[in-house]
Amino acid sequence: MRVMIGWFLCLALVLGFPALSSNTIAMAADAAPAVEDEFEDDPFAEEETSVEIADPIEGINRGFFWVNDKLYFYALKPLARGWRVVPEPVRVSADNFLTNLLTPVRFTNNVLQGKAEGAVIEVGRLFINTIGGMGGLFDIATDMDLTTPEEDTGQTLGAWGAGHGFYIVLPVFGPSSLRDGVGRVGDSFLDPLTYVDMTYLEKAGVKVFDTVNYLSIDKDTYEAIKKDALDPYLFVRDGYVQRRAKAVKE
Amino acid sequence: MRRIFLPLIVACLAVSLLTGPAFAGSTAMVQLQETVDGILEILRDKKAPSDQRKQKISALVRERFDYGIMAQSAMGKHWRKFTPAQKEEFTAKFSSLLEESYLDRIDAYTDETVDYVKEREKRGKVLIETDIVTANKRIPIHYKLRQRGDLWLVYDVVVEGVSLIRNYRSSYGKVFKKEGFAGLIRKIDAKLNGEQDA
Repeated sequence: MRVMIGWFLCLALVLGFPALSSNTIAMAADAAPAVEDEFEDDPFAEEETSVEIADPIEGINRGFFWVNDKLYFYALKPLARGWRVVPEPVRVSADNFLTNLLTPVRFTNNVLQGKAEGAVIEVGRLFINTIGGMGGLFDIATDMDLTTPEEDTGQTLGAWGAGHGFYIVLPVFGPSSLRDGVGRVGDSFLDPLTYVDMTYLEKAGVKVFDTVNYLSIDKDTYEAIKKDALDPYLFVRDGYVQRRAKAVKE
Repeated sequence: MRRIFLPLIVACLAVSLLTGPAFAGSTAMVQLQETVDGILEILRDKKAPSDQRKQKISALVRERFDYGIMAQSAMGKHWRKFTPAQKEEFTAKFSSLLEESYLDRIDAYTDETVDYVKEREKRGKVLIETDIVTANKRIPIHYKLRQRGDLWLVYDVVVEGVSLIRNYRSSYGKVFKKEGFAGLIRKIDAKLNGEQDA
């Protein structure tokens, strides 16, 4: 029952999107000429997307950005640093295992976007890595060059024509938008963990572990952004919009 | 006798076909590879003192990156409001900031390999797509180059679809509008001095 209500909520929000997204596009178009003029001799810039996104709740967003920043430096990063005592191949295997488990999210969204090849590759990867890669611990499909861009529900909504709506910094989860936030809800319904018999606290524990493990492999990307961006909030926001636009296009 | 020769010829052909693309790269590709491979080589030479390595890398980077045009693009439409002296000061500070953050980060990538995926030409400029292959993922890094005499120089770097120069432009523009030139330089100085929350 709860699942049904969730989907209705998603549907309502999706249907409400076109109005919001056309606003955003109009805004971006207004802003574009003034920003573009000095960069016009870059022939590749026209292939990139506008970094404009509506940010009507910037004050609140900056607040959560600050909270997430502290959470990163004082909780997640120390844990990740401690976790680095475990040899890297083990941590990479843990990451592979959790990534393999999320195949339903990627498969379904390939299907929803009509990407037959991507869907077939996801199934192939699942079989190869689960059987040949000992339950997903080893990503031998990638070694065989069997890869496809990762799809999620936010991208599906984007492929269907939904704009971002506006920028939202989620507490704990970080940069998002109205569209991608709804996408997150969709993703969680497709996440096998949702249907496993565990308490909420245990499930949250798995997600925290996933994040800490990922950060232990990551090369301090966020520290670098903090170091050289004049305004890290804007850098992360604009980077998010560009990265998501590329993901939707692929 | 022919039985031995035929496979030999086929083998030679196959080898030349396989190695062909490596030689067929354009001047831009060859020059970028020289720089990137040169940097990796210095990084892997762990015996040399670290400041000496940094100096060598810095020289390589300055040869290949067009800091002048990068600084200009980072300011976008505000560039023409600068006086010549301000342009010079900004370019110098901006270059040091870019270089410092680049050098600080590159150490982390010593053990990774770089794949040259493909290159495209468009209106005289070249885009070279590379992948940094890390333990659990590939990070796409695209370099945009333009020609200056015999040299191909990088004028923008795009990491995972995020153009650094475009991204800089939006925040630099906002700081300049709000705090003027002095405020902009103050912020860059603070970053250069390693103040995290500046």
